[in-house]
Amino acid sequence: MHTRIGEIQSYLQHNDHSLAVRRILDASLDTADMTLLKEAIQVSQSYRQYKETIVPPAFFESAHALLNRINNATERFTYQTTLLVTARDIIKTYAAGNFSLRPISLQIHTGDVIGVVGENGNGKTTLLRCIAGQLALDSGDLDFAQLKEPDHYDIKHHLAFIPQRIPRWYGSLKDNLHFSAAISGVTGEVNNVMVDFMLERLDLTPYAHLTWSQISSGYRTRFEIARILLQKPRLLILDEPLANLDINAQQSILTDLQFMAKSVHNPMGILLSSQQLHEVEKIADTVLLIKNGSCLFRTGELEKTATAFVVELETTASRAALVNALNGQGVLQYNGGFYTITSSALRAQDILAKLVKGNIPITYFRDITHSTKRFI
Amino acid sequence: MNIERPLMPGFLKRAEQKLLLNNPGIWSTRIQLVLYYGILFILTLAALCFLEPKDVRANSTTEYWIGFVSIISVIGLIVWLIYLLRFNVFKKYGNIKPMHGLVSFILYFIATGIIILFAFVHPVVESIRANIAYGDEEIVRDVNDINFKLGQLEYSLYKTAWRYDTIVLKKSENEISEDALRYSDYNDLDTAKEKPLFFRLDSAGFYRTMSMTDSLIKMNDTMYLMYNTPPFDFVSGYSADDNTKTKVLTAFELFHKIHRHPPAPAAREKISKELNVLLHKYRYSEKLDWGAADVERPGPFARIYDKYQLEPVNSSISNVVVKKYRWEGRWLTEGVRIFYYLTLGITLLIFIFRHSTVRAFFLSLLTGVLLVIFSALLFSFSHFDEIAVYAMFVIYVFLFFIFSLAAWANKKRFAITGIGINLFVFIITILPIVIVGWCRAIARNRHYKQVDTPFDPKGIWDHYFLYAEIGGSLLLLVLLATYIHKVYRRWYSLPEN
Repeated sequence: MHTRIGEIQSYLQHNDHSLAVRRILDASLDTADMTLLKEAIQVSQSYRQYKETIVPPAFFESAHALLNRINNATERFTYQTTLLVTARDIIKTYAAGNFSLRPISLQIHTGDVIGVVGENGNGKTTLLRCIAGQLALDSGDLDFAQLKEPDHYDIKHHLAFIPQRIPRWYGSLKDNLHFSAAISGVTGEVNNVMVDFMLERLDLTPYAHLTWSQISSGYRTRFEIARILLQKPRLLILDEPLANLDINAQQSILTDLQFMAKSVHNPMGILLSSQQLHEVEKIADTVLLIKNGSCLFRTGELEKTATAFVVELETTASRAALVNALNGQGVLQYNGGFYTITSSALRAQDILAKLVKGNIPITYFRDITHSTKRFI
Repeated sequence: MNIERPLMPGFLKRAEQKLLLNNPGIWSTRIQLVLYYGILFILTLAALCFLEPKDVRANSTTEYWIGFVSIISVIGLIVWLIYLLRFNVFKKYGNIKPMHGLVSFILYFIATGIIILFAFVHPVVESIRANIAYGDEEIVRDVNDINFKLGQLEYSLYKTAWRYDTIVLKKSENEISEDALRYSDYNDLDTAKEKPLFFRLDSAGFYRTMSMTDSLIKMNDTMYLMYNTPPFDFVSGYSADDNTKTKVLTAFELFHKIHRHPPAPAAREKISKELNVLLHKYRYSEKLDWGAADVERPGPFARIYDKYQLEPVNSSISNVVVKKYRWEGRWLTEGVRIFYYLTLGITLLIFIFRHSTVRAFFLSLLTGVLLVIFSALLFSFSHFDEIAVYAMFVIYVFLFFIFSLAAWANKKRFAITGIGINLFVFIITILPIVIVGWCRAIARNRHYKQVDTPFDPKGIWDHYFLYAEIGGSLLLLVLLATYIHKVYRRWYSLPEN
C-alpha cells in the first residue's frame, strides 16, 4: 500500500475525518482519473452531511473502497521538481524615494513553499509584487524557466497573485469559479468536476450560491484561493493570506497550501508573506525575513550561524524566580509580554527541564533558535 | 449555476451554462442575455406599437416614443454593462486567442445594436401600419381621383385667369441685379405691356424658370410672359408617387384633363358621392400642428378648401406618406447612419474600457475633450481652412499611433501610452473619411482656382465618402484582429511603476 494511502487510512482510523477527507480528495485528484475524483467528491459530500453528528459506517466503507481504487493508481503519484522562477538581485525604489527594496535573490521550484516574514512596511508586499510582475524592477531580473520568450501577459497567466485586500467579485461565487477554470482551459464536464472538487476541498460548498457581500472576509480569502487554484497557476503568490482567517482556518489553509504545492495534478511554487511567523515556519521550506527592504535572514542558510539557543517563555513567575531557576546559564530579556532566554550552554529541552525543576509555572514555551523570530 | 432570472427559459439556462463552461469569452459578453431579452423586448414593444390606438392618418407620435424608448435603451445599456463588467477574460489574464479582440468587439457591437434598435421599433411599426393601411398606388390614385372630381364639381374655377410672370433675359452683368426686382402683381397682358414690372434673369435662371413654366408668350426677343397653372391640385401627393408607376397629376395635367371634358350636370350627384367617400377615407380631424390652416390661397381656392374641408385631408395624406416612406431613399441611409455610428461609438467606448485601466480610460476621455476644445480654439483664432482642419485630424491619428507603438518600447505601464492607444482605437474608423474629405477639399480648391463651374455636379465624391465609411469599418476590424489586440495585450500586462 502506498504511504499516502496508509496515512489516510490512519487518519480515518483515528477519527481525523476532516483531514482524511481532504487527503482523499487530494489523492484522487493526483490520479488524474475523473471517475475517482467524482467519487471522492461524493465521499466528501456524504461526510459533510454527518460531520456534526455520528459518521455512519457507510461513509467508512465508501472511503476505504475508494482508497483501494486510488491505491491501484498510485504509480501516478510522482512528479519531477522543476525550477519555476529565478529572481536575481532585484531592486525596487518607489518614485517617492522613501523606500527601497535592496538586492534580493530567490529561486522557487515546484513544490516549494517560501514564506516572507517581517514587520509592516519593510518590503514584503513590494517583493511579492515585483516577483508577480506587478511592479517594474529598477534593476535585477526575473527568469521564468518554464516560459520561452514570454511577454508580460504570459507571465501573469503563468502565476497568480492574491493581494491582502481581495478585490470584490460580482455575481455568484460559483459562477466566478466556473469562469476562472474556463479561462484557463478547464472546460466542459471537467470544469464542473473541478469546481465541485475545489468547493469540497476548501469546505465552501454550502456558500457556493452566495454572493460576495453575503460571506465573511475569511471565506472571501478561501474563495479567492479556490478561484486562483482553478486557474492552475505554476507559481502562487499570496500576500498576507492569513490576515482574515481564524486560528483554525490559518492552520488548515497553510497545511492545504503545503499539500497543494506538492500536488501531482498541478505542482506549483508558493510564495507567501505573513505576520504569523510561527505558522509560516511550520509549513515553509524556506523563510525570508525582510527588514528595511533587505533580506536579513533566510532559513536553511543563515540559521547555521546561530551561536546560542533561544527560547520564548510566558510565565506568571517573577524575574528573580526565573534567574534563580536558570542558575546563571541563560540571559533573560523581557518585552512586556514574554521572556526571551538566550543560552549558549543549555539547549531548549535543558532550559525547559530547569524551569520545571525550579517549579516555574509555564503558559507558553517555544524554541526559536532556528526561527526568524530571534531576529525581530 | 445560480440563475434565478425572470423569464429565463430552460434553453437559455442551458446555453448560459454551456457557454460559461466552454467559452467564457463569449459568455462574459452576456450576448446571449441581450439577444434573448432584447429581442423579447423588441417584439413586445412592436406588439404595443401595433396596438397603439392611434389612427394611421394622425400626426406621428414617433418622436415621443423614441424619447421614451431611448430612456429604456439607456437603462438596458446600463443593466447590460453591470453584467458585462463582472467578468473579463482579458483582464484576468486568461487564455485568449488572437481573434479575441475582434470577436469581443463584434459581440459588443451586436449587443449594443440590439439595445439601440429599441428606439427604431416604433418608427418601423408605424411605417408598417401605414403600408398595410394604404397601398402605394392606392394613395396616388386617390389623390388624382379627389383632384379630378373636385375639378369636375368646381368646373367654374377653370375659367379663372392664369397668373404670369414677366421674365426678361439679362443681356449683361451690369443690368439691375435680380434681387432688386419686384414681383409683378398684374394679371392681364395689357397692363403688363404698358407697365412691365418684370424679373430680369441671367441665362441660367431664365432657362430654369422657362423649363418650369406651364405656358409662355413671347413678347419680344428677350421678354416672355411665363404662365403657371392655378392650383387645381387641391390635394397634394407629398411625393407619394416617387416609387409608383402612376404619377400624381399636376395642376396643368388636371386642367387639360378636366377643361376639355366638362362633367354632365346629371353626373354631378354621383361624382359628389364618390368624392365624399374618398374624402372620408382620408379625412381625419386633428389639431393641425404645422399651421396648414394659415396657408394663404387665392380667394376661390380658399373657399373650395373650406367647403370640402381639404386641410385635414391634405394633412392626413401627408402623415400617411411620411410614415409609409420613412425608410425610403436618403431617409433610410440617414437612419442606418444614425444607428451605425451611435452603436459604433458606444461599442468602441465599451471595448476600450474592457481593455484599458479605469484610470487610462477616464484620462483618455478627458484628453479627447481637451483636444477638441484646443482644436476648436486653434481653428477659430487661426482662420484655418478646411484642408488644415483635415490635416490636423490626420496628424492627431498619426500621433496616437506613435504613442501606441511606445507600448513595445516601455518597460512600465505608462498612462500616456494607454491614452494614445485608446484614442487611436476610438478614431481610427473615421480616418478614411477624413482622408477623403481632405482630398476633396484639395480637389475643390484646385477646381475653383481653374474654372467657375460647379464642383462635382454628379456627386462622385459622395460615393467616395461611402466607400471611406465602409473602408473605415473594415480597417477597424482588420486592426482589431492584428494590431489593436496585440497592443492592448502588451500594454495592459506591463508592470506598474
